[in-house]
Amino acid sequence: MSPRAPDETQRPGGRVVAITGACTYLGTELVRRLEEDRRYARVLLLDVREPPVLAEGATKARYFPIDLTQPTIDAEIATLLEREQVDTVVHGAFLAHPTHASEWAHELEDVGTMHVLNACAAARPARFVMISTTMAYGAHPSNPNFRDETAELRGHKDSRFINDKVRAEKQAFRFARENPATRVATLRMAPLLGPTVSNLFTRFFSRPAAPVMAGHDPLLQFVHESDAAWALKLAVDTDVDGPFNIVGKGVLPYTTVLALMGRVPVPMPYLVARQVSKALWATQVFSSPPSLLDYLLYVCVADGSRARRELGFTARFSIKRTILDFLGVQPEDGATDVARAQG
Amino acid sequence: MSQPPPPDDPGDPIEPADRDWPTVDGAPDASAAPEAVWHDDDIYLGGEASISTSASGDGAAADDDRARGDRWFSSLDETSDPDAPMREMERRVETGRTPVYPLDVRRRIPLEFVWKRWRALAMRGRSDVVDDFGRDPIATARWEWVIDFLYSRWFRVEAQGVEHVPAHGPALLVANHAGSLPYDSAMVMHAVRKDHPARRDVRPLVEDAVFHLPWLGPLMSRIGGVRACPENAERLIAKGEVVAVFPEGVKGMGKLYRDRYRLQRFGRGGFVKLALRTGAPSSRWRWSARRRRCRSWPG
Repeated sequence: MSPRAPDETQRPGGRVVAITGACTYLGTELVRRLEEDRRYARVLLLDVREPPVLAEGATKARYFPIDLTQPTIDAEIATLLEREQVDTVVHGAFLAHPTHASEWAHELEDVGTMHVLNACAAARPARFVMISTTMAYGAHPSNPNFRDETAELRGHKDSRFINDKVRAEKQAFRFARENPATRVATLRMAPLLGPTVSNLFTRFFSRPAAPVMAGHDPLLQFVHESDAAWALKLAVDTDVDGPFNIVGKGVLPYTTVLALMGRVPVPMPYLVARQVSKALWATQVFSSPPSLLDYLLYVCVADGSRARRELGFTARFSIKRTILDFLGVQPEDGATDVARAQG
Repeated sequence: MSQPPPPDDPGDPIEPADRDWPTVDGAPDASAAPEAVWHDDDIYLGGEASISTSASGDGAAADDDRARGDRWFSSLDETSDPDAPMREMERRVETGRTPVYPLDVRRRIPLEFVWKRWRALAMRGRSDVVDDFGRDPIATARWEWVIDFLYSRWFRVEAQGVEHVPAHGPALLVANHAGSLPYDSAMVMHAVRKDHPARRDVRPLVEDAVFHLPWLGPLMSRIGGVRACPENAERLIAKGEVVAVFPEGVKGMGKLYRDRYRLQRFGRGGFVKLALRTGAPSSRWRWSARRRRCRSWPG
């Protein structure tokens, strides 16, 4: 199956895209790419605050304040989609970092996805693209080295951060089954790493030291931020459907990643690390829940061959290049951050 | 040029030539221009650029650094001489060196040096490129002598029929377990790597119970072991690798000494399905305890 554009590309005015979570890294990058593409006429930015990308002289983009945690927001979105004749909805309003406000996160990710999908069921856009993560496969001892898209999304039994994304993706799957008129694609991104993106992993690897589960060294996988943005643009351009793993080239063991980054590994037994992490999470000292320690125990790596075959996406950055690119602006002495402040 | 660095100034580990800016004869270099011009120009040097790194913190060293930095940047100033940038570029090409921004040099050198040393130290004995299943060529070479010692000195392995392993393409090796510790997969690997003319790398499938053992699991993964599951096996066969399976599993490792020649039940027949599905040629290996009669591991 070769990628082909939806019928809306032939529309004389050009396509109209609505992006939820336009302030996220991928939303911002997608707006920048759509601004340069003549096939797209208008871009609707739905977010709770005005995306900074509007200040860059955006001509097609327009901001609509939409809060997905509001209970009646689905009707508002549906009205908006119908009034603006939106044919492509990109749903990217997901948290890049776990939060202690887990009820709010649940409202935003799980219930918010339900609102967006309800609006899509009413407005019937031709294309729906959702952003997910390969962490939804879960880190389990029974994982094979590579999970492909047919694998079950097992999530993590304790992690609301992961399970909200799993539930959102299951909703999107159900929506695709019930609304065959809308082509639904889900992009499961490997952990994003790069000089400008900010998420769970960039924060984790920005610290001078990192915990290592003693005796365990799983393989890690990243995708460069510009590769991820390119994959998202490809998914918006084409109408391939189903889930896609968007992964970078190659894998590396966790300790090798730390060594390449020059971080100090702090080995500790898993049980100790879990208790310490629990205590620090409960006292809100750490912003990462203890359940994410499982990703340092067991492998959770996805296979990106379906995206290569059907989406035409091949990562340009190897994992080592991604790490070095990420390090390029890292404060090596931990004191100054000149490059990031300037950029 | 004009003044040697103060004696208590610690050496600059990254850019040792930082102390001495070279000049080209005949060029209207900064050192030939009057002093007042450099202090009046508005090129930003950074306040921290003049902070002396000397422990005593004497003002003379700081002034010297500032004067040196001013002179350096004024040589790029286009108002003083229109040809200066071009000459400056020529000079850089001649000296083969790109100067570093003084602010960054002053701020980052000591810790950058430590960081780079730490990184080099941490990357010792590991490669920055591993294959899909985590096999690390440097780590493999590092543990080679241990396996070789076990192979040729301790167990005195005699491998027969290694030539049946195809030189190209996928293959499936099926073997029994002999012994309570999973040495035999490493011995199969070593036998094929050592005695087979094609020097093929065997990828043994490792049972979960062993693969998730602390320290042993990552080590096996680095030297080529793969967690035993159908997805991994099919992926390896599809890549054209030689896969070794031990269908007895942990039961084979746990059997009693008197049962050493008796095969245990073969799991769920996953290797048969694998061979039928992928069409990989398979060969059977037999480990016999008599091969290890000289010295045998306890148990």
